[in-house]
Amino acid sequence: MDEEIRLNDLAWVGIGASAGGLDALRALLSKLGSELPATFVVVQHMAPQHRSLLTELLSREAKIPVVEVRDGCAPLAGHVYVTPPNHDVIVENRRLKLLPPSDQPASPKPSVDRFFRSLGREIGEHAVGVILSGTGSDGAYGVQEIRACGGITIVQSEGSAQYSGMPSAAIDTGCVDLIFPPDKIAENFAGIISRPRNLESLIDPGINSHDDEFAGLCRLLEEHTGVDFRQYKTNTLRRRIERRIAAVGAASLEGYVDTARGSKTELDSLFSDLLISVTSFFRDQREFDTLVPYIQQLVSERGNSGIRIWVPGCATGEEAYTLAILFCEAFGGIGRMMDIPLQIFGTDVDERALAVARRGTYPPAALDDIPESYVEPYFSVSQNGNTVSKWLRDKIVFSRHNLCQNPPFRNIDLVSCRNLLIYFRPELQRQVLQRLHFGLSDGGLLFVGRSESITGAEDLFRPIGQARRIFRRASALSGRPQTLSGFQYRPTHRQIKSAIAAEKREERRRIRMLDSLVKSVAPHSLIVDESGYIRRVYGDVSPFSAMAEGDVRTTLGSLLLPEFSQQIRNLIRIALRSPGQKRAVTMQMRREEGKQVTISIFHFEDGEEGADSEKLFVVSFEIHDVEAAEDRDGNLSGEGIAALERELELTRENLQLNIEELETSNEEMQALNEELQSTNEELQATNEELETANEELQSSNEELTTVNQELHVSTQELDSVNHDLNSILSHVASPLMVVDTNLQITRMSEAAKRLFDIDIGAAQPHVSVCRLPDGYPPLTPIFSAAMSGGTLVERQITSDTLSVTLRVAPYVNRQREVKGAVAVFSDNTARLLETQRALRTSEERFDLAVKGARIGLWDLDVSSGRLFLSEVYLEVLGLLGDGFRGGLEDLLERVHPSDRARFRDALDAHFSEREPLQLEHRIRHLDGTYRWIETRGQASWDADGKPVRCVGSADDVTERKAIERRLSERTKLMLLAQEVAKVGHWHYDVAQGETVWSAQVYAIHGMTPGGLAPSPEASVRFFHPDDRAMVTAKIRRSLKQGAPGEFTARLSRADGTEALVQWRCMVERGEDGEVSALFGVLIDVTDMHQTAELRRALKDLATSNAELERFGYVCSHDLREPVRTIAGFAELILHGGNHVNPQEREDYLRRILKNSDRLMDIINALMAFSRLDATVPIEPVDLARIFDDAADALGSLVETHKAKITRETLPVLDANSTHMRQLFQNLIGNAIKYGGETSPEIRATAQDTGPAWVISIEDNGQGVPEEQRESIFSLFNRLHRKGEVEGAGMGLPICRKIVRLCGGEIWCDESALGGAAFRIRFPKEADLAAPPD
Amino acid sequence: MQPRPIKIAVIDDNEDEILISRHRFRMSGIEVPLDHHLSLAQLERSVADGRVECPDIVIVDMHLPGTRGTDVLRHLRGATSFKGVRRGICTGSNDPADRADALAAGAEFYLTKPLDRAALELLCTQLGSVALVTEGAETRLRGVPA
Repeated sequence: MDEEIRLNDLAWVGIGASAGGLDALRALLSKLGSELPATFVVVQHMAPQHRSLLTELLSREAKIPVVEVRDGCAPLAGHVYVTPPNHDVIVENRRLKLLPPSDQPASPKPSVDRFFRSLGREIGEHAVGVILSGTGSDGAYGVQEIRACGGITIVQSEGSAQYSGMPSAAIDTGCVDLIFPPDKIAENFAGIISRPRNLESLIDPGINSHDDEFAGLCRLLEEHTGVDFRQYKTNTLRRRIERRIAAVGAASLEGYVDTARGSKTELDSLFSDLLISVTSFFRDQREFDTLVPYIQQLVSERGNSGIRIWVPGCATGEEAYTLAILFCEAFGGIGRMMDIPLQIFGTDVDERALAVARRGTYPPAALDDIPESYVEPYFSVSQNGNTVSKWLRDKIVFSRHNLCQNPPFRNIDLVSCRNLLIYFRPELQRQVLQRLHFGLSDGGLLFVGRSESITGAEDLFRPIGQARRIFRRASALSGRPQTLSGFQYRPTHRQIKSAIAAEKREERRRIRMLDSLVKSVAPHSLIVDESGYIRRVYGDVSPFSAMAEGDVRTTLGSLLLPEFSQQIRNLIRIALRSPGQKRAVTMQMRREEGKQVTISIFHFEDGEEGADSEKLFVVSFEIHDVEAAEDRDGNLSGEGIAALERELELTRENLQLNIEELETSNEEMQALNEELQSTNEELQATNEELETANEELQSSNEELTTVNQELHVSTQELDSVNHDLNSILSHVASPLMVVDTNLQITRMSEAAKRLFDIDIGAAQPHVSVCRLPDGYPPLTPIFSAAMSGGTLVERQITSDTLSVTLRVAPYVNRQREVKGAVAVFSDNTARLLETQRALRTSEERFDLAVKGARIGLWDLDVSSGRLFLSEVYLEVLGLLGDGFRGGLEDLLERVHPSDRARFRDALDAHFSEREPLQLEHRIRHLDGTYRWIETRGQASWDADGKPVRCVGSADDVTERKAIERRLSERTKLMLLAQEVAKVGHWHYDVAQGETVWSAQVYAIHGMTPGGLAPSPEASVRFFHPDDRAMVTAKIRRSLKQGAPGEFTARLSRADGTEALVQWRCMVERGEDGEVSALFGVLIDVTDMHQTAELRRALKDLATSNAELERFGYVCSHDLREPVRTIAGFAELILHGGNHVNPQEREDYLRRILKNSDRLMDIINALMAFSRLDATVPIEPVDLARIFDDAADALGSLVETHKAKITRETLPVLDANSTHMRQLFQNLIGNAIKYGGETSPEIRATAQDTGPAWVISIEDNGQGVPEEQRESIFSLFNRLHRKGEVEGAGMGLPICRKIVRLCGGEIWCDESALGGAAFRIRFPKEADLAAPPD
Repeated sequence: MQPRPIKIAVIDDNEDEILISRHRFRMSGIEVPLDHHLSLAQLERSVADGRVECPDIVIVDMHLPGTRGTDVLRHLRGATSFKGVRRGICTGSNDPADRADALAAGAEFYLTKPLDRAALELLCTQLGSVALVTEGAETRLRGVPA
């Protein structure tokens, strides 16, 4: 419960500031103590894109915690909350809420207005708004809200503010309670906040006893302002007065009354405080929504005749503008604004508020409540705020008017009187409602506020709608309010009655007297007042009267004939200047021919002389016959002349009067004009000054922004440098120390702190305080030396367990003054120890290695013959337990007798000739067995060349020796097997150029081993001449490509017989990956081959037989065709007789010839095809050269067709050159023949696919349809008619056969050139010796 | 009313053969016109253009450049513009495989070159619906009413 009370009693202080606000804030916050039951929210304008340091800056000054506002936080007492940049802050449910800032250009961020408005609404009386230094007017609107909600507003005094824009704007609203310098504001907080804001506690119990004070105050106010507040609700008055008491810090009500009595300013403040009301655009928008249908109804019913609206108590005008917007919308929007017959009266008693309303300019925050769609058309947004559109403004008249005291406006269609009645006591409420009833036209509407009712005036208004906020005027009672002032002294009923009766009797008597007097003097006359109103009529004035068109009023113009009314007006003016005189004029009667009327006027005053007297005129008419103004001869009669002269004089007088009046008004206009001009000039001057000030302000603002940015950047740099330095110091491994000139340590690395067991906090200890580890020299002299010498001083600190380098360098500032020294300790102790340990490890490792490798060591002192043997050596000798004592001779004794001499010789040779000492020998084990040892050694010689010492190794190679022996046995076995199987093996060392043949290889060659120095060249010569090319190619390929190879070839043995051998070859590669050697076998397969060959021939024959049969049919068809044709023609010629004429005969003969040529072609092609066989020699063929030859051979064809033949680089292949030439000739020939109408283009390309080459011959002809690409390779297949392209249809079958002979394949597909592409695949590894079937 | 004359179209790449056949017909007094076309495409084009009337019988050579007579037969079997036209092969080949292929491709007759009176008689025998009719010195090929 306590908590609750505390929470609700917590004062919320909003502090708004802009330019120059930082200093003011510092001054203010530094004075604040934590004991205040208040929380502070700082709203300081800041550039949205900058990171703000405001919180840090303020926390240095403030004694209470300063934190940044977090969204949704509930502020605590005794804390300062700073709004972060680029956010607006508001209060919602007693929590601070961050919002994105308004996107209006003129709106400062964060918005003080916005915050203050929410603060006022949420916190009410406990809100305090403080405006500090700043330009612009942000906050001025907010203080009004706080004030209206009962809060206190404080403003920094303009003198103390660096920029007084915001303070003075706030002061100008008249809603500021206190004005102080910032520090004073803080000092007064205690008084303002902690004072119980309850008048009952300020004054003695028993409110009634203080009625006198209230009455006194009300009287004071009425004297000062003319407004009587006695009928205002007591509670409202009391609350407002309490606020002022708190604001001025008065101790009691009496004290405050005294203060007010002596201070007109305070009375002004109190007055505006009492009148302040909460107003805003579209306040309680839901209620406006319910009003809208009635507005539309009003517009549709009365829109034509014009609508009048009255907003009493309009304050700063928002409500009036809201209604104007709504009506405007109902009339059809701003576009129709100019023609809308709308008149709005906004009235208030507060002139200051009215001034704001008239200006029509509001801060951005005020527009928050306006529906978005209305802002753009009805407001113009500018730097100075948001101004109501001129058209809208023109619809409203703002004027000072006291609803309680002044007469109401009349013929009003709608009165909006919201949140005004609540301030009045019921009695006054009823009176005001009566007035409004009087002012409203019949059926007019009354719109009241949310918490208001029309109690006591239910007979005057009928509610419409559910909400009972809108009422329609009831027409029951008479319109006139019983009294126009509820405040004046009102006489009792009886008094009124008797007074009126007496007055009326007297008046009636006087009127009768006047009537009889007038009638006697001027029987037909009028009494008219100065304005031309007819007050009384005597006799008959009908000849002069007529009802004029339009509204009927009792004026001359309305009731008299125009000529008379005009004349009488002139007379009135003349008579005014000559009171007491009678003036007259005679004029013709138009209605009655021959009659004249003389109009006389007499001016008299009603009542006594003075202000109350009224000027009245008696106008009398006298009709008489026309006097003959001129006689029959046309001469004017005397009477006529006199009348005319009178008339002329009157006219003159009238003219003179007009002239004078014109002059007067002219002068007035001139004066007014001059006044306006001067005002205008003043305004212009002010404007210029303002512009200049604005520019200055802008430029200074820019400068400040720049400086701020620079500062920001350098702060960041400093920060990062500092951070770097700290992280270096904490992480650098070497101890590092910085001292100043007094040898006090300013900085130390963490390593140094550990080393010297010292911690430097805020204190800067002297160097001598360091606890030096053992072995370190005193540091002070070293530092002093470095600083006084100005040079680097380096000391080495070494001992058995210590190796430290100390470097002390003086450091200088820019002026080259020594400002201190930097010391670095490079500790090498660890490295020293490491080296020692490494040496030990290395020795141990060597021992282990020697033991592990089972290598014995020996050391011979040559001169003494003393010999040292290592453990392993002793183990070999079986002497491990006993040890070996003795010299070289003792060792030699253990060497196998047959090796002993060799051992001794090797030693001598090494000692004397320095030949390398290395030999294998047997040595005797203790158990009598011998082991094979490989002994190596190296002697050292003295200056004379005498050996001094010899050290060596002894490796037990007994097992190796055993393996070698077994290997040699196996080899022998293998050779035997080879001999039996007629398989020989050979080896060719590429690097050495050395060839080794096994005995069986010699045997296969018909030679005895050693009969020939073998070499690859010699080997080739043994092969059949036809096979040599192939053999060479195979060997070369294996050598070059490192691929295993295999072939079968005929071999001429030494005895001349021929053998068929199979050669297989493997490849050895050296460490560099190159082929280092070839090795393989040579097998005599003569016997095997003969059997296999027979079997294959049989199979071939069967296949070829079937093929031949098919071939026979095809052949017979194509061969038979020309033959048949020849026979046919020959028969016709021979037996045709008369049926064949000579021309036909010749034609037939020619055809016979052609067919026989064709037959010849076919036979030739067949021959060529059959000649293709597998036995042609294979050699490396340069395809490029062959291609060119083939193209040349087709020279004439190429020329005829204007063919263009190109080729890329073509490879060298193992093939037959004749075949290749034919292949290319056929393909090129085809390409030209089928290559299209104009200039065939032929291109040959080669592609290496890895295992094979693919040669392409492409053309740009018509190509080969896909379904025919295979059939074109069949015999006698042609795509074209015989007449078109020559050929026997054998070309492509021949090509296919040639390619297949080489183990390749040929096929046809599409070419990139657009025609056909013939592709030939030549495998690199084709087994030429055994071509595919 | 005599049955109407039969029109024959020959598709053969060898002009000489047709020349000889026509001369032979002339000598034998056979009044059977032979429309010669080098390819199926040429025949179709001519019929479509109206240069040639649609034939009653199409005789196709077996070995045509780039294609085979059997393929032509298959095409004719499916072509609506040649509906009801009798078709078969006349070739110099006596390969039994060719004969089997031709029948499989829908040949209604299989003749061996040369195309002469004997061949025409064989055609009549194989088709059955046509006959060689001798009228005075002239012999014509006419449809036989079913």
